[in-house]
This record gives sequence, structure tokens and C-alpha cells, in this order.
Amino acid sequence: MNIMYRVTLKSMLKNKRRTIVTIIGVIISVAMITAVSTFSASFSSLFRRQEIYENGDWIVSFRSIDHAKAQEVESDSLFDKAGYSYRDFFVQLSNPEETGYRYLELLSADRNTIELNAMKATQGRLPESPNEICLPEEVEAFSSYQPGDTITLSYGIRLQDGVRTPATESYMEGETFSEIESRTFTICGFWQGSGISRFFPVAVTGYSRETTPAEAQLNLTARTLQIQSDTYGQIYDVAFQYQIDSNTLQFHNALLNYSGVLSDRDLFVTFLMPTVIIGLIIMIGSVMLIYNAFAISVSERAKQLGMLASIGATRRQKRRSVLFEGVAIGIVAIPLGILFGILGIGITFWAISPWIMSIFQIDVPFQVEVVPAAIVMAVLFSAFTILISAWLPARRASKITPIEAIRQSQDVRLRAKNVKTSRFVRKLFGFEGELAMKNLKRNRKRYRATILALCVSVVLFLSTAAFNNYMVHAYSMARHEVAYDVAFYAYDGIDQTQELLHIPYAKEAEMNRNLSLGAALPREKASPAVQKVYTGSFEEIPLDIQVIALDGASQERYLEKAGLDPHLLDTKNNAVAINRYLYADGHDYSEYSTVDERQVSEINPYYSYYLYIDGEEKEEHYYTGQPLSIQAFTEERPLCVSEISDSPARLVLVVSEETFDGMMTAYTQQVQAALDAGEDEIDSLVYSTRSFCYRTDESSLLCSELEQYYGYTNNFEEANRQVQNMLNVINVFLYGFITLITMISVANIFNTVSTSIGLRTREFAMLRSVGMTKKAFNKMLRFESMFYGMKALLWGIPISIIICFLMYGSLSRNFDFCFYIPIVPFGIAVLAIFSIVGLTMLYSASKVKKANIISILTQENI
Amino acid sequence: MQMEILRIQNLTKIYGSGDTEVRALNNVSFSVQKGEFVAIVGPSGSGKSTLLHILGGVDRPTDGKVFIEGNDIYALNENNLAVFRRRQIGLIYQFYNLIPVLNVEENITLPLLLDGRKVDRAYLQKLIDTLGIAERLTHLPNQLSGGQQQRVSIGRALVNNPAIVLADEPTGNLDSKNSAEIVELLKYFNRENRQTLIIITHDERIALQADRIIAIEDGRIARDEVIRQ
Repeated sequence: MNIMYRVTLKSMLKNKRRTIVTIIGVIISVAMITAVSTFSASFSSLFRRQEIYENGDWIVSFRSIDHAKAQEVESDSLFDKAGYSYRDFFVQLSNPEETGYRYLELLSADRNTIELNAMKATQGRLPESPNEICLPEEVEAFSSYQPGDTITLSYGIRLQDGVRTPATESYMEGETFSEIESRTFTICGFWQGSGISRFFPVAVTGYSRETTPAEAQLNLTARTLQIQSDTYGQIYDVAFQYQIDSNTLQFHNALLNYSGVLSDRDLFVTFLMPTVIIGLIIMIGSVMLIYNAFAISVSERAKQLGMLASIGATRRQKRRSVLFEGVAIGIVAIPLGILFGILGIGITFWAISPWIMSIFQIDVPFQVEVVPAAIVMAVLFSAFTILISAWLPARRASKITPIEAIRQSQDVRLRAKNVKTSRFVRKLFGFEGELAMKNLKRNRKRYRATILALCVSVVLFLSTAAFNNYMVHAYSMARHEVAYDVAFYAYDGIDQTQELLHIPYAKEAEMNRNLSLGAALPREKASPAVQKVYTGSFEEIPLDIQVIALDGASQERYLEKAGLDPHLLDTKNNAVAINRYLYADGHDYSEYSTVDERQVSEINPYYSYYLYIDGEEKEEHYYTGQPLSIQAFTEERPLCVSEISDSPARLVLVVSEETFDGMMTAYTQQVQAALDAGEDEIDSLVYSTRSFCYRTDESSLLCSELEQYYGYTNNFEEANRQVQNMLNVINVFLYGFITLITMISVANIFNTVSTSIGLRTREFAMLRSVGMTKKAFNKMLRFESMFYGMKALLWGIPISIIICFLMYGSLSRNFDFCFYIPIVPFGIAVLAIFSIVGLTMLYSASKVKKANIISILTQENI
Repeated sequence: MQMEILRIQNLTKIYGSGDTEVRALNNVSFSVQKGEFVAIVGPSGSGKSTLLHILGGVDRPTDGKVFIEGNDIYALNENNLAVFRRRQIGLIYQFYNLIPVLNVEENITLPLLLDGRKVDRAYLQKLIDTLGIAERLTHLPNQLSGGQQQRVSIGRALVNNPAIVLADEPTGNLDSKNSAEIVELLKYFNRENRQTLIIITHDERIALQADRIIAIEDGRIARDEVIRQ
């Protein structure tokens, strides 16, 4: 190895600390780049495999194609598998009221089509011939059948005004069914349907050329031999070649996108943007680290390079020696970085895969895919980063002359005005502080580079932490809302209450009926908080009243939980009032109470509605009933009643079912009377709701049990769990990313600060020889780290606050709370900055302190 | 009137141990009176620099004591020794060792700044005028020539009116004209202010300008001659 390179290598080995720190920094950045590209590749692969699992690996479908053409297309070398099918035939079902459906759609598909679409049977199998049929699971009427049984179905077409209705249109009044024939099928199995859009349950039968009716519109589903970047183009070319109208083509866009073939620009942006942004951030952090490391190396080696110049090293040789350092570091760090990147992502995937599979409903295994292209890209990207970071220092090195080296160039360029400090510094911080301040200012470039590194770390950390904080806060506020896992909303008319209360898988069940009413409360009887909200001319405050009735068992449990007499509500028109809520006040909830409990013992709620005349809101009508007597105030609430209120003047009154029914009757009678009196514009119904709230450990099983009842199910437990999973995944990545970027920054700061201390060994020795005590010396160093920290925070904190605000702005569509600044992360950032700089200084200075003063002072060559 | 300002008793300094043991100083004893100008000479490796550094309080002796104005300086703890050094000892080195970020005035008043004491401006002005650097007060060290930087060094050593000034080859880095000027300055302060001055030099011409020459060889005093009263 030539002498220049040998000297470079020796100096790298001599400065072990700096070399190792730089290598570690590069390893981290290469690892991150590898991780990002491996991650993208693996995720794409995951979605691609899931898409194939769910919807098959077909690429294009030619609709309504002529058979002869279809055969030509099939034989084209572009495709390696093709299947035939047709739809738009229907089976009319005999008793739609019982089965719930008028028609079955009959899909005829050959084996290839079935495989290309990944159609799956739940019982038995899918058909292999036109004599077999696979029936839809959801039609109850077929549940008595087994695979192997035969069934005779009449199939035909639907007509609307003599025009054939395709399967893509729902039932329309006036359409007719025209039978073609009645066929007996052998049931080969049952299935649940797949992604084909349908208004009717689909039964699948086999396809054969011979049995295809003349009216059938043939579909050809095909798969290309390979998926390439110009697959779309290739297929359009085939269509053109065989004179097929390109409008009849349907592409499996999801699969193509996940395979990297993008159908439009927007998708490209959505997929690539986050990756590019992250890549850029990593690159910026790495460049700063590596550039600084090389700049330091060059300035430390200035003397050496000057000496080499004096014996005849050319510019190119000097430049190359620096680039060589880059190559040496690259050779060690890049392979290690790739290894750690893959390992890191592998471990991360293993940890988060349960959450991912749950969130995205993935059935295929989630695994790390090492894509050679991605690795090569990572290597090139890192090598490029090292190259541009080393370039400028290398250029500078090439210009070092022997004289500069001897004179230790940077001090020659020092100007008095550069290190000027104001008088206040000495007054405030003492002489040690002034000296510290001057020390910072002496090397502007290095100072700025360090501050920039610190600042960027602060901003990145705070942005990520704030983002996380907002998400978690929003989530926890949403979580407040319900105490139950599953809710079922029924119609108050149908009574399957007992069955619904005893449904399997429910740990706790409560039925509640709910009437939304109003009441007017004299101002002085309201709580001070509510009075403050309704300032102004409100003499009476409009209360938002919810009257709730629970089922017998739940009511008993509730009264017991509230510590009240179990017979309290037996007397008609008795009520228990809940007077405490959380109301979103600012960025978090506050406790409110609505009425002054000492003054209120009776509420007379009215049922109101607006009278619409000619579609315009005209008058408000009120119907009152018997006043309700409040027997007790409590903070206990039934399962169904939320802690949160979206109005500050809300009052929930729990009454017995008897009282509830009485109120319903009273209001209904009054409404009826109004109708009879000729007010035919009003709505004849008094609206109440009946819902069931469940606590359960098996929310999805409970929900399937609920499917047989007529109503609407809401699985809160599932929804919350998905959100939590999502938050977990986001947290893992955010914090992982942040930690790694911070490590790169810390490496950078460590290098910079310890070097600047190292270069001042001689000065320190001199100060001590003149009589600076250890205490004063430490004080000076403390001030230096303090000034670094303060300057970094001076920039970092305002920038972070702005970013918080911007982030809040874009997330505020989903948030119900006001803007706030998360204090804890900011506190952590402040502490961390001072700690990092301080510790770095302490470490470097301890090395200096140990050194012998005299040996330093009498040496020329420090 | 004579007053003993410095006394060295059985000073010994050993580096290393066993086979690699080096006795830089071997049981050296002598004293210096206030106002004396002493030159310490000797070949390289004789121990003269070691001696000076121990006198200056920047290197601890293996054995023996050093008394400055009656204070056993090595009985002080590190902190107090630093303060003592700051106030009572002026050190001048061959390689000026000025702080690059401080200007001339600040470099000169450095010991006072470390002490947090106010500068006696009259005294400072006189010092600066004598040194001949009055127009350079706001300049940084990198804007001065070698000779000027050494003058600043001297200023720093004298600003506190220390008990003794120790100079280690103060002219080693200067040309003959500057060397002569520097030595003149030191002699001036020695004569006018009765500033006790101990110089290490290998330059015979400089040594002969002192009042007393102590020759050190192999860690011992070979010769101690008063050549001028």
C-alpha cells in the first residue's frame, strides 16, 4: 500500500475513538437505509401476497369478449394462464320473504377462473363441471342441504322493459324474470363469495363451451407470465392487436400496484413520498456526521498533510488520502450496517407482526424479504453519502501547504471581532463564562455545525414525540367514551329483549331505552359552571335531558351499585339523576355538574319537535307530561350512559320502565291529538331508542350471535383494539427511528466537542500553570456546554413549537381538543441536550486534566 | 536588606522505577534572596527544567520541600497551590503560551481575571509602556510577532507582582535582537522593582548577565557562583 494510504490508516488507528465513533455512525445510517428499503420491500410483498390470497393472481379480465377472440388472446405468449366465465344469469328464489333474497346470481366459471380469482369454498369444494353447483352460505334456505345432495333450480335472465339486466344492477320495480331452463345440479359445496360485486348471493357452477347459452357474455380472465413495469402497456398492445376495445379491460390494479407497477401518478407519490422523506432525513443526519468527522480528521492531520506536502505529495495524493479514509470506513461500516439493518428490521417485524396482522386483517405470514435490489440501493446510497461528505474536506486537504500546517492555520485566521463578547457576559457569568463564550466563537464553522446537529436532533425528537403525544391523547379521550365492548341498537318496537339480554358470550348485558327531551331550568338553580357557560340573557337554561329506563335486573344492579334503595324507582315518576359529566373544555375534559342539587328536586321534561311547513322549520311544539321527582343524585351511571357529554347542560334521569312507558304514552297521545286536530304536517312518531350494551371477552363471537337479530351492531372493543394496535406499530417505528437518528447526532456531537477540547490541550495546560483552579476550569467547561445547549434550544424549541402547531393543524380534523404543547417531551429534550453536551465535555476534559502540564507546555508539537 | 524568598531543601525528583529509574534531581538544596537575579545553566538532561517546574509549583517533587516566602508550597492542596501560583509565581516559557482568543490586555491580566480582582490601571499602564506594547492592546496573539508575544508573556508573569519570576529559556525562540531586548526588560524589572528572577538558559551570554549562576549536572548542583553583587 502506498505511503499516503499507510499514513492515513495509521492516523485513523491512532485516533481510535474518533474512527470508531464515525464507523458506528455510518453503520447506524446504513442500517437505517437498509431497514427502510427492506421494510418497503417486505410490506409491498405482504400486501401483494395478501391480495393474491384474497383475490387471486389474475392480472386482466376481458369482458364481453367473443369466443374466437378469447382463444386468440389466450394463446398469446404474454399470458400463461386464462379462464372463461360468464355471469348475468339468475335463479329466481321461491319465497323471498323467507329467504330474504329474490334471486341468486349464477356464475359459470371454469377451473382456471376459479383458481385465478382464489375463490374458496367453506364446505366441500368449488365446481368442476356445469352439473355441479356451489351454493352461497348466506342463504338460510339452503342450510338443510349437504354437499352431494342434488337440487333443481330454474335459471334465466332478468328483463327490464325487454332489456336484459346485468348482475351489476340491483332489483328494480317492474323487472321480470324470464326462465331459460330448469336444471338439476349436484351440490359440491358452499362458499361465502368473494370480491365480485353483487347484489344477490352468488352460486357458482362449472363452465363448458358446449353448455354455454347463446346469450352469454363471455369473460376471459388472464394472468401474465411476468409482472413488469410495462405490463399495462403490454396488455393494451395485445388488446389493440386483436382489435379489442380497451374499455372492456379490467385490471387487477391492487395486485399490480403492490407489485410495483403503478397505474397513476398519485399512487406513486403516496407510496414513494414517505420513503423518500425518511431517506432524506437519514441522509442529512449521516452527511452531517460524516462531514464533521472528516473535517475534524483533516484539521487534525493538517500538520501531517503539510509535512507530506513539503516532501512532495501532490494535491491529488493529499485529496486521495482523505477519500481513502472514506473508503476504509465504508468497507467496514457498510456491510455491518446492512447486516444490522436486516437484523433490526427482522426483529422489529417479529415483534410487531401480531399487531400488523390484526390491523390489516392479514392471513398470510408477515416476513422479512431481502430484496437484492433494495440492498444494492442501500449500498449505493450510503457510498454516495460518504463520498459527498468526504468531498469538501478532501478538497481542503489537497490545498494544505506546508506553511499552513506549521502555523496551525485556523488560529492565524482568527480576528478580534470574531471573539468579541459583550461586557455583560463577564458580569453575569464571570471570567470563566467569558472565556467559555470566546472559545465557542473562535471556530465559527465548527460551532455552527455542532449547533445545527444539536438543533436538528431537538426538532426531530420533539416533532416525533409531539405527534405521538397527540395520537395517544386523542385515543385516550376517545376511549373515555364507552364503558362497554359491544353495542346493539334495536328498534323499540320489536321485543326480543330477554333473548338479547341472555345472549351467549356476554359477561354483562344491559338494555336501555332512551328518550331525548328538554327542560327549562331557572338560571339560579343551575351550577355555577353552567351559569358561566350560558352568560347573557338566558333567564332559563335549556337542559338536555335523557330519560333512561333499564331492564329489571340491570336496574336492580344499578341501584345497588349507587347505594340506593332497590325499590326507589317503584313509585311512578320517581327518578334518579346523574349530575356529573366530562365536558370537552379546552384540550381535555373537565368535570361539570349541571344543576344545583340543593335547589332541584323535580324536573318536568317536555318532548319537542319542530313543525315543518312547506319544508321549512316553523314552530317548536312542546308536549309535557307528569313531572319527574328526583329521589337521589348520584355519580354512578348505567353501563350505557357515557361519561362524556357534548353539551354542558345535560342531565340523565333513570326511571323505571313503567314510568318510561307512561311518558311515551302521554306524549304519543298528545301528538295524536294534534294530528286529529288537523295538524297533518307533524310526525306521528315519538322517537325513543332501545339499545343493548355488553361487556364481553369474545367480542367477535358475540357479534356473530347478534347477526340474527334485526338491528345494528357496533363492536367498540374491536375498534379500540385496532386503534391501539395501530398506535403500537406507529410508536415502535417512530421511537425506533428517533432513537437511531439521535444516536447519529450524539455521535456527531461527541466527535466535534471532544475534538475541540482535544485541540486546546495546550491552552488548558497553560491556564492551569498560570493558576486556574480545577474548580474554575470545570466552571469554564460547564459554561461552554451550557452555551451550546442554550443556543441549540434557542433555535430548536421555537421551530419545534411551530412544527407542533402545523402537525396539530393537519391532524385537527380528527381531534376534538384544542391545541396544546406537550410539556414532558420538551422537558426531556432540554435535559437531554444539556446532558449530552455536558457529559461529552466532561469525558473529553477528564482526559485533558490527567495529562501532565509541563510535558504539554514544553512540547512544540501539540 | 536581605530576605530569603525561596528555599529548597533536599529536593529529589525520580521518574520511573527499578531498571528504568531516572533521577532528574538528586537532593538539591539552595536558597535565593529577594531581588536576586539567578541563572541556572546546565547541559540538556541535567534536570534544570525539572527544577524550574518544581519551583513553579507545576510538578511535584518525589522528596524534599520548597518554601516560597516561608510557605511550604507542596503542603498546600491542589486548589490552594493553584491560587498561590496565580498570585506569587510568574512563569515565562520558551513557547509563549498565550490564549488565542484573548487580546493582549486580557492575556496580561489573565491571573487577575482568574482571581476576580480589579486591575490597578496605573500599574498596568506602566507595565505595558515599559514592555513597549501599548499600541497592541486590543490585538490577538496571532497578530503579534514572536518578540511581541514574549513581551506579553512577561507582562502576564509580572502583573501580579509575584514573589518570584521563573523563566524557562525565554529567548529560545527569538532572534538575537529580540533576545537582547527581552533580557534587558527582565533585568530592568529585576533592578527597578527588586523582582526576584530565576532564568534557565543554555546561552552563556545571558547567564553572565545574572548576579549568580547555578550550574546543574546530572541532577546535582555542580557550581553555585555569585558573580555580581
